[in-house]
Amino acid sequence: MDVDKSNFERFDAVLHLEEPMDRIPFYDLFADPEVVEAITRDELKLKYADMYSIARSILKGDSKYVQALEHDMILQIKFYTSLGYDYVVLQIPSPFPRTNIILAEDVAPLKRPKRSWQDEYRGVIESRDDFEKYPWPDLSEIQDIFLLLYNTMARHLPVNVMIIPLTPGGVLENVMWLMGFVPFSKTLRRDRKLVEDMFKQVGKVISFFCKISAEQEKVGAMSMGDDMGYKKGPFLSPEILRELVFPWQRECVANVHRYGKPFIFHSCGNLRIVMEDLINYVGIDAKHSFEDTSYPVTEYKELYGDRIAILGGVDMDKLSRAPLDEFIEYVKDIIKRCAPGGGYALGCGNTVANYVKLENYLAMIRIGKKYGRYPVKKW
Amino acid sequence: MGRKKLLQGIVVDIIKTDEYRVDEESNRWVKCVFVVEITGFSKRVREEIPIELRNTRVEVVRWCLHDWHFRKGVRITLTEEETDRVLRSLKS
Repeated sequence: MDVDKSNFERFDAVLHLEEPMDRIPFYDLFADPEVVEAITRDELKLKYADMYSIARSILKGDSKYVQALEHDMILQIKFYTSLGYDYVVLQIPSPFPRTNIILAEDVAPLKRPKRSWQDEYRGVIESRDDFEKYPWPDLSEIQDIFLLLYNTMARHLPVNVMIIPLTPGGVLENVMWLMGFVPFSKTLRRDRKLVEDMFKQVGKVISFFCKISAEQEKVGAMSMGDDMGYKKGPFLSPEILRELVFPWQRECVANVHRYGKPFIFHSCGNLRIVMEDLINYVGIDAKHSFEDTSYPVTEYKELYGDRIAILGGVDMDKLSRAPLDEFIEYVKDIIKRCAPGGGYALGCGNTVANYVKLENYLAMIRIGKKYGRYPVKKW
Repeated sequence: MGRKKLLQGIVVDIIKTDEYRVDEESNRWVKCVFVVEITGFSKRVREEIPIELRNTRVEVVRWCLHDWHFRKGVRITLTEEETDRVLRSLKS
């Protein structure tokens, strides 16, 4: 195997807790469009567009975005494969429209016109009446939209590279986004049935995405991001997570395992208190998202690396601010502690965000290819 | 991806030899013999190993370069060839 070339066998080995044949693979949940553009030196034509609406209009016969979509998919493939990732991320657009968004100025080095934040005090669904009126997505339309995007990407996929679809947010995330964290918390107390119904609606859609993704030939694994906590612990008590969230996440995993494919779970927050639930009950194959100050990747590798793959973990703060020489030593130390035995892929602690220093990010990739080489089995 | 059956174990000892190879980047890879205690098959197959294989020690060759290659007590995955060899030896 050529260490510079993408080959999904490398990452697949890690997901099965094996040592990859040649070097440590790379894993990131996704890369911000500004980073994709900076690396490929090309422009993503639909980067700030509502992809769900665009796909819907293409399906209705509107051809004006077809070329742009094709172009963007090719650029995404170029980004991942030119850096040596063994897969390409297919970001599934959200079918849950919402307006409780706050826009603010972006101060990232590769800044975008506006950075959007979740309004935690306001939801688009705060009452039973809102719930009944909400335009819940139709599963057959979801399937058509997914297949349009999947097929467009799959057509251009190089040999040995696979697609890893990413659900449009997770089960808990979407419920909290739609309700707003404060109204959600109040409703948990005041109208538990409404919250349960929210999880049913959202869980049905997210698990359906997992099913239709895992069915596809070019899909190598499935990923879901479902941020569940703060630095000190989960947003919700383990009991509530066990009652409302984990059963739906388990359904998502089961829909992927049914097709013999691994499930990658991204969740920010210190989840030590529920990690056994995630491994034994939900059934995740890999955990992503780590932060040195509270849930460092090296610690998770030591605690859980014999049962699940550990992915990423290069701290976002260090990626964004550390001097290069210091950063290089830091990445080498992560490799030294996480690579032995396999089951580990190198990558950012969160995503390739537009606020990371590109110099550091590219150094991480370079070090991975050099210092991340495994012992040679046959000369 | 394939369903290849690969044995895994724990590295209990590493014996460095005098043999080495230099790659195209002038790195010096040292031939080592890894002593491995078999623990099971990799996660790819949900199958138990034959009972007589459990805790058996086998030797495999690895060419090492970086400091972390010499860590003991960690998991190691045998190649398909090495796995076949070990499983065959069981039958004979």
